[in-house]
Parts: sequence; C-alpha cells; structure tokens
Amino acid sequence: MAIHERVYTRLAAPPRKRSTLPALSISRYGARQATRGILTKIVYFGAFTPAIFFAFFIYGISRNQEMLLGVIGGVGIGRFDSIDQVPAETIYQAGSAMTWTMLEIQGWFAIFLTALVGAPQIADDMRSHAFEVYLARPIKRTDYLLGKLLVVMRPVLTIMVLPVILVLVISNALIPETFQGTWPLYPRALAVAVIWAAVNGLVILGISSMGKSARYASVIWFVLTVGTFIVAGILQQTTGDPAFDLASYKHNIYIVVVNILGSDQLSQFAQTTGDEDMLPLLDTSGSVLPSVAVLAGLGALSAWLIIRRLTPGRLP
Amino acid sequence: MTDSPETVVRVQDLQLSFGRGIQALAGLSAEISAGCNGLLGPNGAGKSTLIKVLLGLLEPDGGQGMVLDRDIRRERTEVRRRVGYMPERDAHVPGMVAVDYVSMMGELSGMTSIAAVKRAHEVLHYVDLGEARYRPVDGFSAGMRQRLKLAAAIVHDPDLLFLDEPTNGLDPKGRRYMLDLIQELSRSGISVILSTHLLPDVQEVCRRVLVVNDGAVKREGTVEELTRGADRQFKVEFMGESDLFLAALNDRGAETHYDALSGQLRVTVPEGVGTQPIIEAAAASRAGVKHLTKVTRSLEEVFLESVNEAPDGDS
Repeated sequence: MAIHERVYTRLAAPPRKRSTLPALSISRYGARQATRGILTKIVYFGAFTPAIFFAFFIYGISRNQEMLLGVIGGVGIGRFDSIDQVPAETIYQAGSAMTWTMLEIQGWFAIFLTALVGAPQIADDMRSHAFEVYLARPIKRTDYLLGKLLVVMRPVLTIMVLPVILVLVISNALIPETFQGTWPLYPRALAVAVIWAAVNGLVILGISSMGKSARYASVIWFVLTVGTFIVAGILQQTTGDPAFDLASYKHNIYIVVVNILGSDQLSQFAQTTGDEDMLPLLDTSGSVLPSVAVLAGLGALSAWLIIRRLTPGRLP
Repeated sequence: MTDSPETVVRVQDLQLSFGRGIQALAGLSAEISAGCNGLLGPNGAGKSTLIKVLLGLLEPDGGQGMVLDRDIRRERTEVRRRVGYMPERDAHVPGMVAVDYVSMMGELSGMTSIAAVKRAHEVLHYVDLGEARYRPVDGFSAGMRQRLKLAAAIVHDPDLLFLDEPTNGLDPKGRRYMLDLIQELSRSGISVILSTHLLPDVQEVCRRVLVVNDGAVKREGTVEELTRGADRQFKVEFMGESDLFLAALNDRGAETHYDALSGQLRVTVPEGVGTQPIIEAAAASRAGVKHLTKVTRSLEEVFLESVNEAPDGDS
C-alpha cells in the first residue's frame, strides 16, 4: 500500500497582481452552477421550440412561391409576380416583422429564465455569506456586479438571439434572394437581445440584492414584468391615456425593441395586418425617450442597490 | 514554528461603531509579528470585526492599519492578493462543486485558469477532500466545509492567513486534523492569525497571543510570557503557625492568599525583591518552608483575567 505524505507546497511564483478579468471567472463558474436546475433546463431548451415552428413555416413558404409572395406582399403592401421583383426594403419589412414576433415570444421565455437564473444570484450569496469570500479576494465591487450580470445575461442572451439568428439563417439559406433585404436584421436583433438581456439582468440582480430569499425576488420580478404589463394595459385601455404604458416594464422594452428594429416598417406591418396587440405599442407619439429613461432609471436604481449592498460596513 | 521579527499587521487606534452605539473596535492598537499568532477573546470581543477591517470588508471609523506593509484603506486589493481568509461562517456558493469553488477563488486571486484548477486539486488533496472534490459543497459535513474553506483560503498561496474560528463545530478528530494543518502551514512559512475563543487551540499551535475584549487588546505576548505569571507570585508550603507566618509576610509588604483547608498559600511579593521576604518572614515566625515554587498560570486564567471575569473556584 502506498503511503502518501501530506505536504503543503508553496507556489514557485506568486499570482499576478490582479486577475485580468475577474468578472469572466465569476460568470463562467456561476453560469455552470446556475443552469443546473431541471426547471431552468426545461425553460432554456423550451425556448428553442418556437424557432423550430418558424423554421418549418419558412421551409413551407420557400417551397411555395405563391405563398411566399403572398406573405411578403401582405407585409409590404404590394403585389409581386416573382421574388426578384420585391424591393429589399419590402423584404426587410417582412423580416423585421418575423424578428419582432420571435423576439416577443422569446421575451416571455426570457422572463422565466431571468427569474430562475437571476433571482438567486445575490440573494443566495447573502444567505450563504459567499459575499465575504468573493470580496476578500483582490476584486472590485464592479467586478462582482459585472460577473453576476454576465451569469444572468449568458443564458438569457442565448435564448433571445440564437433562435432568431437561426431562423434568419434558415430563411436566407432557403430563400437566398432575401439576404439583401434582411442582413441588417442580424446586428439589430443582436443589439435588441443584448439590451433586453442586460436590462433584465441588472433589474433582477437589483431585486435579488434586496433580501436573502430568491423566492421573494422571483415574485417581485414577476410583479414588475407581468403584473405591471397587465395593470398598465388595463389602465391604458380604460382611461385611454397612453402615459400609463410607461409604468409597464415590458411595454418600455417593446418600445425600445421596435425602434431598434425599425418602427416605421413595423407600424406599416401592424396597420396592414390589423395587429391589435402591436398597434397600441407602436403608438409612441414618435418618441422612444421616455421608455429609454424609464429603463435607464430602473437599471441605475438596480446598480445602486447592488453596489450599496457591497459597500464595506453594509455587508450582510 | 517559524517566527521572524517581521511585523505582518500593525494597527493604531482602530475604531468602529455599529448602529445604536455598539462600539466593536474601541481604539484597538497592536503589532502582530510573522509566525502563528492567536487572537483570543470571548464572543463579541471584536476579533472577527478586526479581521474584516484588516481585509477591507468593513470600513473603520478611525485609526490606521497596515497589513504586510500595505495600507488597509488605500491598498485593499493588494492586501487581499497576499492574504488568505477563512471566514467563521459557512461561505460557500450554493450548488457549486468543491473543485470549481476553490479554483474560482484561485482565479479571483490572480491565478490563470489552468493554474487555478491544478492548484485547486492540489489543495483539496492537501486538506483531505480529494475524494469529494467533484461533489456539490451543499452536501458537505461541518468538518468538510471547514477544510474546504481552508483550501479556498490557501489556493493562491498567501503570505498571511486569517483563520476565523477554524475548529468551530468540529469533532475531536476533525479538530486535531485542522490544528495539524494550521501548524504545517505555519511551518511552511505562512504567517497565521488564528482567531478563536478556544484556548487549547491557541496554546497548541500559536507562539504569540493577543487577548482582545471590548474592541481593544487587553494582553499580548508569547504564550510563555503570558502564562509564566508575574515573577512576584509564589506558592508556599510551610510548617508552623500560619497566623504568625502570614503576619510576618504582610509586615514585609507581601500580599497573601491562604486556603486553610488545603493548606495552600499564595504570596505576592513586592517588585524586585524575589523570595527574600518569604525567607525572612519564615525565620521571624519560626515557620518551616517545605516547598517554594513560582506560580504558573494557565492561559485560561490569563484570558479570564483579561476579560474581567473571576475564575471558577480556586485555580
């Protein structure tokens, strides 16, 4: 039997002055552990199912020229005899309408995934006193915040952007003529997803830092996202005052999203199709600034809550 | 035990109050040299607060401090780079497996990803958690969690190690193992500050001791210095008239404490006179001195004295 002597070995060279990107280390290890739950996996993989349906739909219309032109014509307000005649702008309208619809669906998955991944991030660290061990390392408070933000953003960004990009790629592969019109949607969809995931992440972390219970954090998150969406919708409908929409987290996100994707085209699409859900959203009186201000304010408040929690003397 | 005269911690007039006027540190001043040092004190004495202030986890209201020649206010990051910290409370990341937890701590201390993972395996083996390194830490026993915290504290090979109640909740075997590890780490050249209220732990592994109470240092010195007792205290066994002998001692300025039941006499003589008054008093009262020994105090007595509590019974 081999006998192993217990020996403590000192390192030949001391570690570097400071970790190069501590936030990346926190996010890498954090994400590994945050996405372990069964429910999280179900929501995560479930978020890819809409893309499958969209892919089948695109496959269907790509095999049927008449249907394809019908769809594009419906969106672009015009009739065309062949795909070559369709202007790039019209194809963009069709593509942005599809992207918007997908992002809207993915947004609901993102709400659940954000709660599952984000709510425990700081609440659990406070409950388990992990704060102490993180902050006893040579890192800054902003590293911790950024690391935790990336933990939430990674999966949320993935389910927001990957299905959309996949569907766009499939569309361009099956109907190559559409690439000229739809290529601007790639960076725009990515920008939308990054903003959406970052705002979601920052807000859930702010909520998570308010207490030691991830459950309460989830409840507050759903009240903020779904609750305000319903209440603001009802108030807006009954009073007719669009100002109430600003109280809805989701509405403000939608306003920013449609503006990035190109609200004019989407407005035309909504008016053409008579989309009852989308029309009120697009009635922003021409300004996206109030919504940006609301979201920026929420983000700043969340960041302040977290940093305040990490201030020496205020550690739980 | 390696002990060099190098000072690893120097604090001057540290002050910290929490809400409602609770003064956690009341002008604490101390110099802690390299080697293994015990930070003794009852619960709530300010030991953990002092460590957190030294690490920059708490901001002092006043005073100054240096850790490894770095200012605790202005050079927090540099202090933390060279210091390892084992907190008193469980401080794991829920759901994380042991090797991930330790290697993440290594990376956050400036190690490269590959080096941190390699080192995490090494230190987990060192603290006897090699078999459990792929298990989530939530399922660890108290002893395993303590060793995991130690592994995380030493993963980056610090120059100074703060251990806050490392033997808390351990069974005798676990405690023995932990103390052995601490001794080995100290021998390998890492300075250790062991904060505890368990006197035997300090007596076993530390050479120097600081007794802290009410947010201030009450006593400090080597274990030998503190337990040696005053050079002026003697235990005397004698034959003869006790009243006469005690009176003769008192006449010569000595303080006496005589337990008639056990026949034990403790004498505290004036400064710098040695045993002279005892011998003179014995001769004057015709008492015979059978035994004369210097009083040695236990660390517990020193501790209780420092925290202003009377020892139980006659010790």
